[in-house]
Amino acid sequence: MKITVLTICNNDIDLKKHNGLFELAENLASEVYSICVFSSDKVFNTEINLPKNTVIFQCDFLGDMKKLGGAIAENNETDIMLITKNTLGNEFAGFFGTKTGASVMLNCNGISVNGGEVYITKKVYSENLMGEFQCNGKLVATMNSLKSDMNYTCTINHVTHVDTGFDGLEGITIVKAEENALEQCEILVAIGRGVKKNTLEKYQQLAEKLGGEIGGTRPVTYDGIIDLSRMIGNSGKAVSAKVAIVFGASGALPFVAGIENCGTILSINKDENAMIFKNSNYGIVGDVQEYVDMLLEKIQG
Amino acid sequence: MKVLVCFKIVKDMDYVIDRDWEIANSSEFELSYVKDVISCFDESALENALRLKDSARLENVQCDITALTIGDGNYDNFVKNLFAVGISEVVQVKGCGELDFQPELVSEIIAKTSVEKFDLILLGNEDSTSNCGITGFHLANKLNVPYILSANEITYNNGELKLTKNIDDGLMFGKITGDCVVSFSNSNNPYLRFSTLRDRLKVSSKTATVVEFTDLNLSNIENNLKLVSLKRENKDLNCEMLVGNLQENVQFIMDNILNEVGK
Repeated sequence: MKITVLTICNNDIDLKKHNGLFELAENLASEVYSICVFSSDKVFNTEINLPKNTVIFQCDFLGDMKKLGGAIAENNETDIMLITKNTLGNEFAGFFGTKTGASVMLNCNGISVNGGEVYITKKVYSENLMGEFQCNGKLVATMNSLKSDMNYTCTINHVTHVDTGFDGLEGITIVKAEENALEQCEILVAIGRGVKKNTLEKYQQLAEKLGGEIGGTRPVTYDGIIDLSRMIGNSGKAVSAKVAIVFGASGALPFVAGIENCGTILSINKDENAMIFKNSNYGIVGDVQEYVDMLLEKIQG
Repeated sequence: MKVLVCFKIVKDMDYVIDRDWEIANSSEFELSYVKDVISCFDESALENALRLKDSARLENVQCDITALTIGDGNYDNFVKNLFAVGISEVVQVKGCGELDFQPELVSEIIAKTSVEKFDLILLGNEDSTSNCGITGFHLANKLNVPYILSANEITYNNGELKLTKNIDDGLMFGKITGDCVVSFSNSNNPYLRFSTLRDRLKVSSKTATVVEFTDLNLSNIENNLKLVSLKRENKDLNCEMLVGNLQENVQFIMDNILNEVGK
């Protein structure tokens, strides 16, 4: 069985995820190949912390992943392609899979081989259940991979440039969101519907005073309380902060999926039966407003 | 301009009680008590189609929206509401059986049903049951048109179709160049507008056009990803409830939780 591991690298964390996925693949197959794609403005040193013989592509990330998928499909005969999950990775997987006729599964949690059969697991029903699927034929899957601290050395001899263009759109302009370090923060202040819009400033202050970042559930972002770029969960960002303080979130599993890798989770909610408590290390039944005020007072004082 | 919007009716997962997931160790779990909703990203697609129609009307351009759904349920309430908010036609494909986790077959049904030429086909990025996110890829591939994912907003402006797309670190703006499939994810317009009683009374005689699956004469599509099991993962973190008063609990947070990260 031949497995190719591919990552569209936005940052150094993606490199570590790529290496984690490569380790996973090596446990499944003897023939494992590595491909990494970087944006066209990436400047390389001669060596990079990626598996030996990693094939490097560069392309305009704003471009259409369909053309990149076509370019890689031309020279890649693989049984299974495992792709690090991120927005562009998911786009690439869809285009690559339909191009090559492979089955596609996005946002998978695990893969195993048993008696020559390939099984893949993925959360379904809004993250409430884990589905196990048996795969026949070629497979393309994006994976929620774990970061690896393995040190590899890949000497960069050649970089293939792909001119991606954009299929279906022209006159493209980009407006970057206010930059935030949600995915890299050490302390997360997360807010849910229990937080009133006119008190948002307090939570922003708390996050700032703690040197952390503020994020929110989908309803909070959809209601315009905080920016879409700060949405946490399976359709937003996954945070792995050391500490997460969650104010007024019910604990819907699509949100929990975004904080489950945090070290310590403390949740405050007025509803003692809120599902968030099941997914927290510490819980407080109380008024979120009183707690944010008191925390600010303690920190400032 | 002719626009097709595909939507799926799903169970509102937020209302499924915890106990019912616990017994879901096979595909035979009971969700019939849970209310039906339009899958959230499909709801965004519907509302954005209506906003497109509104913006086209300002420039005296006619925009006809057809909404398509697949399933055997009684969707009369949804259908009436869609007519009332401005959808021109609703099509319901019946007799398909269970289609969760079969995105290629779903895309084939949409492609076969939409024999009338549409300038735009809108749908949600993924549904909240199977969370596949693949239907749009297959559909665009079958129709041989571009596929634009993760749309946030679409409007008609100065004779052009303007699209806003979510990207990892912001928003991308562009002009749609021709027929295409567009899927919506997180949108500035996530919720379908409300209809008034007067709007609903005006369309009370309208009904969905029913298409039978067997009449579509689909070729056999093999599903190479077969669901073999569904399990509830017990991830209870054994939450320690802090039962002190406000001051005591805040002091605990300072001493035992924020202290962990040197705060």
